[in-house]
Amino acid sequence: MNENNSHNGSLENSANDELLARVAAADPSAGFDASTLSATLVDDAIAHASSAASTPQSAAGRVASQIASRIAEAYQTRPRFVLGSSLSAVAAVAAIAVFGSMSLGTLGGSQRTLFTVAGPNEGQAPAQSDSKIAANSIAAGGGMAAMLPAFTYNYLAGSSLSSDTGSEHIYSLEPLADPAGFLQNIADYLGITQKVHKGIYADFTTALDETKPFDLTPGKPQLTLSTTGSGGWWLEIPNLNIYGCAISSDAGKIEPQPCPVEVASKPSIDDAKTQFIKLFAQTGFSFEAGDIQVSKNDAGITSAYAQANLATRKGNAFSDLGFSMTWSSDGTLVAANGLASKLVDQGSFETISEVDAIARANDPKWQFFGGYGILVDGVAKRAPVAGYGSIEGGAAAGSSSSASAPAPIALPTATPGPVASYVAGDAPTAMPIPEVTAEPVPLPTEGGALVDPMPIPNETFLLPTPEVKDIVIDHLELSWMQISDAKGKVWLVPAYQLFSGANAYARVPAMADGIIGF
Amino acid sequence: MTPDEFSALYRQHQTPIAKFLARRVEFSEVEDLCSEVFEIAWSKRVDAVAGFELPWLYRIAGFVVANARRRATTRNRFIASLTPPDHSPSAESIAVADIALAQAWAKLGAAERATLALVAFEGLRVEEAAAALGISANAVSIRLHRARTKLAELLKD
Repeated sequence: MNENNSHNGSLENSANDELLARVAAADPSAGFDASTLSATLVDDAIAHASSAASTPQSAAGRVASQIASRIAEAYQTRPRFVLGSSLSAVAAVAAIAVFGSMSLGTLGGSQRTLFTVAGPNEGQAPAQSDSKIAANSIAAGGGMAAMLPAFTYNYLAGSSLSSDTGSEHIYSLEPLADPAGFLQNIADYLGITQKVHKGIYADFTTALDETKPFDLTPGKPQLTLSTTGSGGWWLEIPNLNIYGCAISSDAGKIEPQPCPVEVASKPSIDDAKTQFIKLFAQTGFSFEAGDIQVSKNDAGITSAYAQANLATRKGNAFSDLGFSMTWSSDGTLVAANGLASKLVDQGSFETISEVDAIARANDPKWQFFGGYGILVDGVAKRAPVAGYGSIEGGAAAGSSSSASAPAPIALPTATPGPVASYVAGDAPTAMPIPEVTAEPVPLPTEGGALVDPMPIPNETFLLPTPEVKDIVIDHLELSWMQISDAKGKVWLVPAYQLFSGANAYARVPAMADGIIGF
Repeated sequence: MTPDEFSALYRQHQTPIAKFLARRVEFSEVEDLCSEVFEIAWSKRVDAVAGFELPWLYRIAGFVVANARRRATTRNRFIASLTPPDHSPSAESIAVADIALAQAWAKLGAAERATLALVAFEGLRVEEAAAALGISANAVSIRLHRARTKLAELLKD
């Protein structure tokens, strides 16, 4: 068996090498002569950057730049933006909107700015998304059009919506004081015997050159913790039964075959919930059985999922903090993931009314946050924030011997590999995401009139302009949304989920103006 | 780090960065974008990790390519927000050498193309590709495996 696997592996590696070689042979830079570049390119770049840094932009210049950026942003994000016949008219409208917004924030001066989000040109969603569109339109051509939505929404406030403001708590996700101990605790509980070790990078986790998590080879559990973003841990144990039960070695092909399993046999739904509750209790989060969704698919794979609730909130409040476990058809735990950050309550902040949330959902500035969260029916209750420190107390003694604890994980004895990896959070030295700045997109004009900047190479690449549909929002539900600030720190802020009947639409931050800086 | 020290350390990476750009943008744009990469690198030099300067530059170059494409093509953000970033070589650029590969390449996901390109074209190891993409080595390994498998299947068709 091992020989066959080894043989298959070598064939597969050989095929992979050939594939990579074929890709490499198609190098698009083949005709590019790098020697034609300026020999002083790097020196010139340094000089230019130094020069720019020594001449900071004036305050008036910054305001003008912001206005121009907002104009460009509004134009890009609102396909049905009502344009005047001239650029100046658009500028005037946008400028009023900008200063109007600024005034609201100033008037609500009791709201301190808690954090500042990255601007649209500072690297994340907008710039990347647009680039994807550009690439897709080139690479996929007309096929892209079929993927595009045929419409977009204009939200209208239903008569039942409230105009009352309120207040809700905001949380920050902070690094754990002892991530190694946190991960070791989980490893001990799961019966993983190898010790946690530090990953190669401060925020990158495991080096997987010697393990292939999805190569159909069972064994080699990987328990990993990441300190970046919202911070999370996850367990992966490659298991044949998640793909199939047999491997064909004909011509080096690796093909899973259907498992002769009794679907939905192991674990039972009750046992899955019990294991779920026990596992995440080790990490400081408490769940009740009714909060956990368990599902089984036709292959016998069992999945359990829940979102953490927040201690200060009662009722359904989706937190954006997901926890999950997955078992293969033989009842073996094959995957799990949870939160590896500390939730810190930043206090109570004013929230806007439901009516105002509708206006915000139509505002491109707030669409930046993305309102397309996935909702679940079940919501778990999170343990009090103050209790979170208990996770550093070590493994739960005896938990793995209880009837409903997860079965000990069988490690391969022939080729023990690195199991648990840990990335130090105490002194992160990894490279942060560079804050790549781009110039505001200039508005194309033709004879002084604004023109559509969308390039149309030919009819094949023509993208449809979405139709605008009016949606009357009849109720909203409060949830929490993760937002990354300009420094990469993650915040959990109250957000309204818009509903029209049973259909969920956009989700927008609910904090009053001024709490988030732009 | 003085300008001279920076220049001495980074000048050696000018050609690989230029080729990275040449695979993703028009040749005529390479020099300007290459300058932009090194301008940003200079201004963010404190963020570089010793020994991983080149993957770090690739990461910056990826942002620069994405921004350049953004400047070239604007779309409404709602539509754009539905898709992940993509700064990998286009299928058209690959079609010059291998049409069948180009057709398969176009059917890969953006993340798969980006990962495969860094390994096949830039010759990066998994850890280096992870640094260039700003994701974990675990994720790169998984993406790479999927991309290879998918590409191989597509090439059979």
